[in-house]
Amino acid sequence: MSGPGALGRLVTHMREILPSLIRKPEERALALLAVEEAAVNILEHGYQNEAGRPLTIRLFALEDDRFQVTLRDRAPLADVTRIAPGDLKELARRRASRGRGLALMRLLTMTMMHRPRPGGGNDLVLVFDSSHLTRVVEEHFRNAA
Amino acid sequence: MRRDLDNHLISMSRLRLYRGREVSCVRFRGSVRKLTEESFRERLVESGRRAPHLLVDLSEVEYLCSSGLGILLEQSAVQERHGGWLRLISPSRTVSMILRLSGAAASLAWFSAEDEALDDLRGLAA
Repeated sequence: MSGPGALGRLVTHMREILPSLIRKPEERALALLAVEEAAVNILEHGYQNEAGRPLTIRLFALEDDRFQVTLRDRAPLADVTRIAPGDLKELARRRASRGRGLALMRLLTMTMMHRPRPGGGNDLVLVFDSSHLTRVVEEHFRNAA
Repeated sequence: MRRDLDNHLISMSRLRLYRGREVSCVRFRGSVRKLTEESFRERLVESGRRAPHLLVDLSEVEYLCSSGLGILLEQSAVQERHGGWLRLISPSRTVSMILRLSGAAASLAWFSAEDEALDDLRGLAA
């Protein structure tokens, strides 16, 4: 349910489940970042911070080290996959305070899909690929070296 | 303990005198996420008001959400408007990765130690 503590509970559960899907802690942190940004979008924009609204998160292990996270809500219809993400470099240059969430979600996922739910609401499906997350982490450490 | 830190943010601030200049230092421990971002913002603003030069120690911050990045960048612009800067001290592995991925690394300077971050204040008159 949305409301105070919703995100905290989500993070706690994700932290418990993710090690069975992703071995490396840095990669888990990145997957969690994408899921958390998606959940914050739903709570802030979909539910306008209203408490007591449903938010369900489902994880599925797929073949080839991929896994899928589905965020299911009853918020007004909103297909975030159709929204052009902000340019991260430009946002940083302007020192913008917001607008990075969607761009980070796109950067860290292989696919993002939206499905309207019968009776209202949204399913947002994020597909992760462990090898993609590995590449992102390796690239980071290469650039940092 | 780790689970507790997921949803908490503890901070400790102090004022340091370096070569005749006051430098505000704030150290965070925990995670910067939706639940803690307001407290992160409040403490940064409060610490930033104390002196134009602000050091933010993120060595014990396990996670920084995109709003947290925005708050850091905003505060950095505020410090510069007051003739100073905001510098980060030893962001943790995960946080430094998030800073780089988000592009924020290009707009925020970070150092491995406080004295290293203060090095360029040496030549400046107080």
